[in-house]
Amino acid sequence: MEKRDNVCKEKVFNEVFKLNAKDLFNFLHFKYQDEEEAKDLVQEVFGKLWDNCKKVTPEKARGFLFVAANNMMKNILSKKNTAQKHQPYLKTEERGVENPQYLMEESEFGTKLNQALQSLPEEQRVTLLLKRIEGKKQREIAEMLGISEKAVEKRLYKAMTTLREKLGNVL
Amino acid sequence: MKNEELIKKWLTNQLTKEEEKLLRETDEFAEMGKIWDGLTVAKPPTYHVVDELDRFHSSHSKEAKVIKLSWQQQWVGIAASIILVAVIGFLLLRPSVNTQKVMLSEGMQTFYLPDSSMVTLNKGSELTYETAEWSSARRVLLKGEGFFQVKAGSTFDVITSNGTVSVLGTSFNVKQRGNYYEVICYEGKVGVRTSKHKNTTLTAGTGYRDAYGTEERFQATLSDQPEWLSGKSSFFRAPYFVVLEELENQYDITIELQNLDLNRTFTGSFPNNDLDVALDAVTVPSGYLYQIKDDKVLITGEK
Repeated sequence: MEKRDNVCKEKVFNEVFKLNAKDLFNFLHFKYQDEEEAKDLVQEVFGKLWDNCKKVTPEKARGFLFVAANNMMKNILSKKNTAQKHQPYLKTEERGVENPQYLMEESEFGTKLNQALQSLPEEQRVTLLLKRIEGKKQREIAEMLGISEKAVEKRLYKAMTTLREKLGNVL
Repeated sequence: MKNEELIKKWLTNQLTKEEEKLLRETDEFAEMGKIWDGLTVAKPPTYHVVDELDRFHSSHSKEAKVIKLSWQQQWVGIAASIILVAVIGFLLLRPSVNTQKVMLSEGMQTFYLPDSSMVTLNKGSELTYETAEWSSARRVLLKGEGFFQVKAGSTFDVITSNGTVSVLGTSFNVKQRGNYYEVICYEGKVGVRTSKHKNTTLTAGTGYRDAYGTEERFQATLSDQPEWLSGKSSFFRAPYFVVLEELENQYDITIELQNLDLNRTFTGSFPNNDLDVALDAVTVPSGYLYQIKDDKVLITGEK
């Protein structure tokens, strides 16, 4: 059997970083909606890969990174959820402001949509945005999240119907 | 929602032209489409891969070096301890480190014992003996099957879990597989001791066996060495499952049985290098059928 390189070689590691870091960042950003947190988590996930580099071949690296990212999130998420619960609701809805201007309406819709997105269950948001923003295929999303393709389809649908319900008054 | 299937197809790019036309006419789609277009608001900020990679290396490169160094140090430490323990162990335990063990999982192997007595082990066998005590007692422990050609001299014992063979100088075969124990003398005389039988003397061409508790003495072959030395497993009125166990041993297969009369005995032989012929040899005389599936063989008897 052919002996494969592992990711311990700096050159190989850098390649893996360049190939996967942006995907991981976007993925984590969809999840947390926080640039700094997503950046730090990318660093942390690659730190894990570096620590385990002997066991990971370049072909397995992407899978490893996403499994690590998924696991890591679970820990942090529990912290974050509790933090969010205690955070006062900052933005108030500007009800009754009827603005005829198209641009304003657009931006209002954008704000509302953003709010609605924030309130989506995180797994629905991530799935939807991987599809919409990243243009990932169902199979790719399934691999990233460690779920089935059928589940991806369900989540996409659920996310869209939930958004539609929430945005009912501005649609 | 009646359009659920269409919307799912739309979300996963599986719509046909006709379906798309159908969907575009619904109010639902107008709203969903607006949301879909608006989702670009969630576009993540630009990620600077190279900067982030630099950041990674500036925070990890030192750490990585330290890890490597500590691993090397650990290795040196581990290696040094192993050597130390080995040297001390060798110095302290030298007189009794002389246990020789031969395990054979493939083919057969012939080798000499310290007194130049000769042993051939059959596949799936194990032989252990002490070289230090060899001059005072010629004694070997056997699991499996071996053919011994013993030089004349002091007593030579072949000990198995089922019995012991003692000789002065002769050639004989000992086979111990599970609860099957068989000794055949090819030359000279051998004495067999089992827990049931104090002492049985075998002369050339005779055998003794204890098959799952049933003892018997029998007239064996006229040849001067066992047939397995020439690549054949042969049996003389051996219980059928002893034959099947040897088949499993020689071919590394698992045999499953259906409707077999296990009280049957088998006289004959099979080659150790051709499974089909071997299976024919074992099943045809009894009217059994067999099927091979990978490393499993199913043998079926008459209904």
